[in-house]
Amino acid sequence: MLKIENVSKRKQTFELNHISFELPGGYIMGLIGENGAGKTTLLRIIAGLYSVDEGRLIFGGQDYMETEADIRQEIGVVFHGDMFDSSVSLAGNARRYGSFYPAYDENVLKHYANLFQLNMKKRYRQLSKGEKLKFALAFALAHKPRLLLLDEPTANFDTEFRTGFFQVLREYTGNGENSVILSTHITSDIDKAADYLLYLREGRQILFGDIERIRDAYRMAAGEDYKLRLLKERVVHLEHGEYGSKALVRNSGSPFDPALRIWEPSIEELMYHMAKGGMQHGSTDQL
Amino acid sequence: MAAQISYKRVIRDYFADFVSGFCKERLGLPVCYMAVACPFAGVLADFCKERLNWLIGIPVFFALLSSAFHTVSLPFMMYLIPYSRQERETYIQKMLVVKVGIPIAFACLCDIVALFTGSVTFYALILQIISIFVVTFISGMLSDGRAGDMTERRAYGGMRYYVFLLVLLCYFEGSGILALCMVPISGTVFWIVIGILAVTLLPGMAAAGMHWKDIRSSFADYELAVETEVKVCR
Amino acid sequence: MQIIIEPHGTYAIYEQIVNQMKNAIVSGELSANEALPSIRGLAADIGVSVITTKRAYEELEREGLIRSVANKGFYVCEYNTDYLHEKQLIQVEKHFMEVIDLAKQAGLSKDEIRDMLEGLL
Repeated sequence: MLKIENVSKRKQTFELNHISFELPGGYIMGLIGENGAGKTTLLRIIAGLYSVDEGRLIFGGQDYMETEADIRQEIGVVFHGDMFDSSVSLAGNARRYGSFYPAYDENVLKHYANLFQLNMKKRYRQLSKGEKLKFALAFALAHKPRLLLLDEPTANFDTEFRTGFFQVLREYTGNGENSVILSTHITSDIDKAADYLLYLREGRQILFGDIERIRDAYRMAAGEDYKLRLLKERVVHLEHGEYGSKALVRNSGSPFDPALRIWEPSIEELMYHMAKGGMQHGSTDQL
Repeated sequence: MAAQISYKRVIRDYFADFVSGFCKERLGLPVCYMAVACPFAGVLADFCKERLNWLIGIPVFFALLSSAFHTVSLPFMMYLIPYSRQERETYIQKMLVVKVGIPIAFACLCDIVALFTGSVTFYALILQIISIFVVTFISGMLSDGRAGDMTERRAYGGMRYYVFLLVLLCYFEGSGILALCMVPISGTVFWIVIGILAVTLLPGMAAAGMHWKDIRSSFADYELAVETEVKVCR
Repeated sequence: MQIIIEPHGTYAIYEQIVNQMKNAIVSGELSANEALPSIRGLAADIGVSVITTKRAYEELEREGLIRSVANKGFYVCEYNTDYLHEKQLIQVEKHFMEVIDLAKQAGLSKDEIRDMLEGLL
């Protein structure tokens, strides 16, 4: 439902180059990368806040350039910073901005406000960072978008809320039509909830694919150094430890040396070794 | 979709913005304005004692608050709601009309009352209206609630320094006019004042006005509108 | 039935699901024609991606253990417990043969192979 074709944006302070991916409806895409990798920029582009220097964005079959207003109805946004008016109450904010969305449903907002334990009478500026994000989420869900964009919200949620949060996302995508793009640097979020993964580094796309294909494509191998070296160019990065070495290795399907311990890398291991291994960017590493 | 951007909605948002746009830092400009009028405080006090002459000040006070709390830039959410760029521009345009129109309409109302009850001259009222117009027009076009150098920002279509100075001149002349309201003046003086105003204010306002299309177009674009990092309030 | 996933286990997550379901079917915990949780439901329960549960179900379907009914979901196939168990034994035997071959290629003796197996169990 969202197709990004070769999108690039270059400014003085950052660059985003040749991002291409396609996210079907009904799935959660994890957007990962270190700080400054370009996650926030990409989300702003998809939210329609930034223009692009190159490439196309297609949402539900419609090109972004042609149908700005219609697309915005279908996109819900949860960003950091003050999204709403500080001196106004949550209810006031919701009323004012909800009136711009034809599909806005106050009852849905109330439902989530209760669920997230938000006091609608409080002024926006009195909320904690986490509460502001929760309000933004409640508001976004209330206008029934088809795509939810969330920029690193989970770092500000306590563990108790996080479980409920993923449940809400799963419910949201449960109809097989709505999708979510969740950027995070907490890799366990990805392991728990992501169906698709987009890994950015320094403004470039290192990996994109569904979670099973990505997991299939790599293996962690641990054991004796020389045995790992035998794997040659399949090795992404080799790390020496006190009691042996381990490496991130491309999975070619052929069996490994039985003396090596093999396991599927977690997202954290994947990112760590890819970053260290200085992965080449570009479509050769896309899945 | 353009039909949706009714004046009714813009006016509703205008009044809502008095609350949402409120913050202490924004009182700077009106305070400047009043600082210029202060030397005339004595005359002002005498003037106000007669009948309901203080009515003349209320619309000015309202206009000052209005110019302080409204910015030409849009709040963040306005860039996310389903408006096209064209619609945002229309919104900004209509908001300018409202920002100037409502203070003036309010002033006219007060003036009609003042004419019947006070000893305020017709000339004084004209000057008051001009003062309000200048202040709301200039701030309506240029005030974006940010500190920092206006001329450097791309959001202002790269306004040049001299335009900025003309604008400042307008603002202070506006307060000077208010002072004149308090003093009984004759017809000749009035027309001389009008003449001076026309010569000094019009170029500045026209220059600023010429940039309006660019300014409006820039503020309809999120990237240009938020380029400067320093933000006051919203 | 409970499915417990070991995130860094030797087997991929979807494989663990497949194996645990297989065992449940063979042991009778899941009876023939019983309805299975939906792909999304299972994913939400375990805390994994729907892509993973989808893959697990597809694998089970491929092996003939479950079948999908349009618009209704997945159901356990009619089966013969013994037959399934035998199928599993055949798989184990097959893998053993492969390992033995490899070991012989590496020049290991019967005892060494046995020792290695003991050590790993």
